[in-house]
Amino acid sequence: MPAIELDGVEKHFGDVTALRGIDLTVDRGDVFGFLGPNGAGKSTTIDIMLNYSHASAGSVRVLGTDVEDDPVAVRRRIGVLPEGFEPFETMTGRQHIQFAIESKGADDYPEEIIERVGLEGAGDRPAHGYSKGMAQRLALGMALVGEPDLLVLDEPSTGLDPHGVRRMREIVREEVDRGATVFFSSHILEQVEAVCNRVGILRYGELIAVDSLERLRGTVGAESELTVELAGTTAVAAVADAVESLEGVSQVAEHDRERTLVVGCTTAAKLAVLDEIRASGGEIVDFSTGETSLEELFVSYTGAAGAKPGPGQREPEGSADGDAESGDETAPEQRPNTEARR
Amino acid sequence: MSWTLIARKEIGDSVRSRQLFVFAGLFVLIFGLAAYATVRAARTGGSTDEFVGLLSLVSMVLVPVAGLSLAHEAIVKRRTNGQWRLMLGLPHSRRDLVVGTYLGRFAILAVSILVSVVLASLFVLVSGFTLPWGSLAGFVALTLVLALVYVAIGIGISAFVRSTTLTAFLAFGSFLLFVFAWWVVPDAVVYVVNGLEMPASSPWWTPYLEALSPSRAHERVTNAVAAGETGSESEIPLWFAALVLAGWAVIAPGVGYLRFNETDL
Repeated sequence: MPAIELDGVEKHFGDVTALRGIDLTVDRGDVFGFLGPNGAGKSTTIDIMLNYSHASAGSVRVLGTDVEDDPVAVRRRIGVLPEGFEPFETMTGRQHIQFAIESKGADDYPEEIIERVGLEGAGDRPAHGYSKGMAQRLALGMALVGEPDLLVLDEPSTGLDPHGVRRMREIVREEVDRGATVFFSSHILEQVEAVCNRVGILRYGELIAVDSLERLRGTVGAESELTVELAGTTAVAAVADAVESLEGVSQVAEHDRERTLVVGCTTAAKLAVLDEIRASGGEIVDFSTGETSLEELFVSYTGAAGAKPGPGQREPEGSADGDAESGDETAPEQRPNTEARR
Repeated sequence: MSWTLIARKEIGDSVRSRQLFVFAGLFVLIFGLAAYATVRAARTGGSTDEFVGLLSLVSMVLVPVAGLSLAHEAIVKRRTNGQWRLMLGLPHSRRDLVVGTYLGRFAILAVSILVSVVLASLFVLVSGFTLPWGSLAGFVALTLVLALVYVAIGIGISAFVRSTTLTAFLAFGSFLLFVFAWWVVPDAVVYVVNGLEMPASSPWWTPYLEALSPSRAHERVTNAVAAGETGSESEIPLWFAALVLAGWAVIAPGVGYLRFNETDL
């Protein structure tokens, strides 16, 4: 029995179509990263999974139970870190955890959970005074109560500092080791990259890719990332244009302030890229290569592949022209793994 | 039975935010004034029987105001600020939220009423007078019913609509309508139905229409209990008034819940 099964899920808000038929299966034990730009429909999908919203068409089964039929049975077995929530205004952090324990009929110790999510020392303060990051930790703590079979985390790293992000990642790993399934949405790609074994990319209300990270990288064909630092005299934009037209280059990102180009390309095209930069007047100060970051992958999927936007949906800003047609097949483990960024 | 947990949280919230003390204090103040007036009248030869009449009179306005103001934001505010998103991540249903909030808020009002009646009665007693126990008990029971009904209306509004501005408007509107405007509504309806002129005698259904206001229905039951009135020919049947009160207490939150359940959070 899969942890999550979405079958033809659609959501319409009046004339606006937010989800246009999502089919998705997440298996037990998966750490599933649900990716997409803002406005792609991630939260809408999660809201429907939790029965916060109702699908216009299609059905959702969570841990084998239809969420419309018995949302409480589903909620008994899952832990939720929702988006856009607010703590209860009169309760301390500890009282929140205690309330979750009573609600789930669990036997956790509030103190343990508070320590686990890194709120030690703040448990007796009123939660309405918490920062966004502390509120996220608190809601994560509430989600962890009662050892749920499935954790649903909607943009969990919102407001978290680097320590919080690391803690979140550790907790996700611990929960998976315990046997839980984790489903989390994010537009921050490093986090998905760090913990997920499967990824789904949502764009304009359509799931345009579901696969393992390795396979997705292979599909895009941009196996390599080349970071080139240019001298102050170089016209970065012109160089970028020249590089972009090369065969085997899927994506070029400019970091003008740092005078750096990040080029997604096939391994074979790397030398040609460096040559082209010098031929078009660029003066190379330094360069490094590495594996494609999910960011390139993500932009090439959400910016170039997939369907055209429907009515009421906007193009994501700064969508890059990715070239997703490279036949170069390189096995993931053969890729150079040098440090991609300084 | 997870609504009990929600109701307990409501009461706990009310204690922690001092809201309960504000409400109880308000009732103690007003009922205390009624007790003081009763004692003064009794010292100059009057009877303490007036005590219950006085309490009833102030309660006619005070209880609807308190009930509606306690309840009208209860559901919609937490929907707007996202607290229900946190709550529904736990194993509760939306019915648990509505029922728990409804009965929790009623409990807050009930405690305020009970405490203030007890204190006001004690004041009369220590001033050396006796109390009409029977009618006082009747008053307490029926005032709790009135409180339940107006909390129910507030919860119904709060669960039905999505905007806090609209709930405030509707709560204030239902207060004006049921507590004051209903004195003229039945006659106005008769006037309109009869082709814009008053008929020689009122149609048979006029008293039923009049009793649809929970305040009028409550008044009918109160008169029957307090004064032992049996009701004349043209009056509202007692059973109908009781049915109206029960109906408001169940149907208003019920309709609100159905709407709340089928819309997106």
